[in-house]
Amino acid sequence: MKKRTLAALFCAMLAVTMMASCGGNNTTTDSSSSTDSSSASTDSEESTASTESDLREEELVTLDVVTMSSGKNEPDVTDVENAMNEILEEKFNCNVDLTFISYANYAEQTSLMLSSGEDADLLPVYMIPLPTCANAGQIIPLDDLIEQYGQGIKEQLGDYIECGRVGEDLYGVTTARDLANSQGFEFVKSVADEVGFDYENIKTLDDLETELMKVKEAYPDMWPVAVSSGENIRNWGWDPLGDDMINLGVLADMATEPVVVNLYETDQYKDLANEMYSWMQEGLIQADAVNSTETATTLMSAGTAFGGFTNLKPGFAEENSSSLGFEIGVVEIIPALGCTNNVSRATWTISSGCDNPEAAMKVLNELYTNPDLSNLYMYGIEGVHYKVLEEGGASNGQDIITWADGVDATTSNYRKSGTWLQPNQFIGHVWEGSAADIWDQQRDFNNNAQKSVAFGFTYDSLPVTNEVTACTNVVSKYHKALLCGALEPESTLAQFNEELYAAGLQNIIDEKQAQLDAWLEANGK
Amino acid sequence: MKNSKPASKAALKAQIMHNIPLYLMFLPGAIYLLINNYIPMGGLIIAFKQVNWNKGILNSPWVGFSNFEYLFKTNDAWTITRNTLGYNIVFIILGTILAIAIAILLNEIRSKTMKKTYQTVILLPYLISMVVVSYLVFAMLSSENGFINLSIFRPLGLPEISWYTEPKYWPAILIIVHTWKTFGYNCILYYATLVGIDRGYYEAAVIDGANRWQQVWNITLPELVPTIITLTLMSIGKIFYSDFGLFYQVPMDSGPLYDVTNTIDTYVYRGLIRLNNVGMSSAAGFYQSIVGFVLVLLANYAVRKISKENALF
Repeated sequence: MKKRTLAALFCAMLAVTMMASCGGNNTTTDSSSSTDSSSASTDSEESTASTESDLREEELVTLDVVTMSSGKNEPDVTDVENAMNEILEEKFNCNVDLTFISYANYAEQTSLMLSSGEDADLLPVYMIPLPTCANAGQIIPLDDLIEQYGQGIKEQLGDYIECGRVGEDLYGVTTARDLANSQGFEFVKSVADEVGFDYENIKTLDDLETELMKVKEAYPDMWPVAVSSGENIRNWGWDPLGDDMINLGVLADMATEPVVVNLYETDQYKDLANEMYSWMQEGLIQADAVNSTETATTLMSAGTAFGGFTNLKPGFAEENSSSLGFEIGVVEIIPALGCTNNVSRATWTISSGCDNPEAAMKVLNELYTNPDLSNLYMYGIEGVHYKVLEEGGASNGQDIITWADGVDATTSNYRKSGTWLQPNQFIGHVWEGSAADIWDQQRDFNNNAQKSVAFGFTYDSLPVTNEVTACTNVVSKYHKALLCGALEPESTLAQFNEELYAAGLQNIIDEKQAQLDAWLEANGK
Repeated sequence: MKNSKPASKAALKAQIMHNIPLYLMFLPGAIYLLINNYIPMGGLIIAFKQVNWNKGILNSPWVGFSNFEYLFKTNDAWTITRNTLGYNIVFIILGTILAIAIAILLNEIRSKTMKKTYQTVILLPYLISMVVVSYLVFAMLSSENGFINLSIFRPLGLPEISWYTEPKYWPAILIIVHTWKTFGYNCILYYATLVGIDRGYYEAAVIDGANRWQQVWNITLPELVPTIITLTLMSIGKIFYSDFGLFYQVPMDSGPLYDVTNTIDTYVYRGLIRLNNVGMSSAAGFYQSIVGFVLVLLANYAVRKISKENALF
């Protein structure tokens, strides 16, 4: 009896489990590792110019180069690869094998690639903290390689290259993009003009509040402030010292003093939380903000929100207006601040599984300095994927370009996507709609931004791992909700800080301060 | 299958030959278990290592129990343990009672079509992804457009509730959602057992004048006991694991609710998502399986004390 019932039981269980487990995911990226197709012999070309041939590999080297795509696998990758290889083969006797990973899978998949050491030689580390990869031995130090083969990168990046250091060694080189962030508010311009939202004269949060009330009165069904994935404000003028989003020990108030403090105890934070709480009470912030899984821009496109807080950079309004299809306006409230983690957030690295790091560095250097190669990588092939609108129209001598005839963002087989994650967009073409001198604007913005006193310092959390884990949990419990205005700050902040100290925040602050002091001394500051 | 000890080598051989079809049937399952459950156990050493991928797992330095520290160091340790165990105990008790009750009701339905319809309908929630469930719940509870606030509380003039910032409602919400989602599956398991009960018992009981309730109490439930024990022991093995989707997706990762929604799995996920430390996450998994293992042994020991034939081993 017992056996029969058990048998029946397990049959039923098996059947149901099989039904439930149907439907896996098939979102793997196709990274067909085309290895040594190295029958292409090289001996015939040894008579080329001597300076060039010094850099040439003896045997054809194929490098796996990984970067992000906008979602679908790019069908024309092979054509672009061939065009890039023509340049690289002549110069270095190298080939590249390009792999694209979508935004959603990027952190997870690159972290797997780095762990296995396969399928990736050269790749940007993004969303995984650089010290994590360096400490886990997943990427290699670059100092010697840069000295030998990467002078072009050094010239292109200037001081910003220093932000890729972990301890003494350089592990990653940043991509060229907006390397500092100012903080402010973006909004739908047509609505703003209609209700008389006076964006010219907004200097503080209080100014913004007054103007937002106008929007609320005119459009009661529209949220004046929408949040992105439960996050209302990420940064409001502090240097998180590597702990972006969780802010465990920061340099507060525009980071002018090298004293690590608990952000959640500062007046700066308290004022901000109080302000947001009163905004929530006034109905300025969207309901259920903490649970929102949408981005502010999605709600703005849908017409249910007026605007949201955001990081700003030069050309932000133009860029987003063209990608969203309606006009965006911005107000800047907190001026630009340059912090190490803005820079080290996206850096190109060489994986420790790379068999030929010299070749990888040569190719990387070329990507930073050779506009033709860089344009191919970023925008595809001229005439097929893009067309030139105005030759030499950009202020860096490159062209103004747009989609080639007959293709657009949805039909192109090689889409420009995330060029900020490509090594150096500053030497390439400018897309139609952006200012002709957009890249110069961004370079100036980077150079003129106020820098944190800890600019260039990379903090290593390894000695306080346990405390970081515990504190991260405490922060995720309160921080986002406080800045969404969902919690009453007076009582909550006290409890929040109590729990943080119980979880070991003081150890983290002490460790950070010690590392920072050592760094300041070593750098003679 | 014979249980007696074979007398000699020849007899053993004969027995093996005789049972070859059974061994062959056993083979795929054994290989599956070996590859998916036993070989990966080697990875347990990661819990005791500071993994450096450059050196490889085996050559990474040993760090003793330091990967485990973070699980016990904070005052969250008590909250997450209480939540994980508390919810699971309620799930086991409530889930079992409800599933048996529904299975008995299903068994009483005469119409074949209706029986099949009900079976399908109650199984459907089990097949829905937790992410989808979380949005179904959100459609009910959203403070702006949620069904409960908009269509029940507002017309009745009751004050609306901001569900996602009020922890006190969530134990009930989570229990309801979990029970709704899983009882259909458990119910089918019990139903399969019910169908196997010899009709003769019921006929005899009817002749003796037993009513429906007496039949259930004296025949159906005793016959179900082995199944109940098997399923409960299996659940106890997983008592230290929580359904990540239920505790992370359904409350929409809302910070103010953590006191009642944070379990071991969500704690580990939130803490390590930034650190990317495989040593610490395997330490958590290791700890969970050890506790589960010990609890299964204990529970089985208790069952054996009470009724030996119903114990698993």
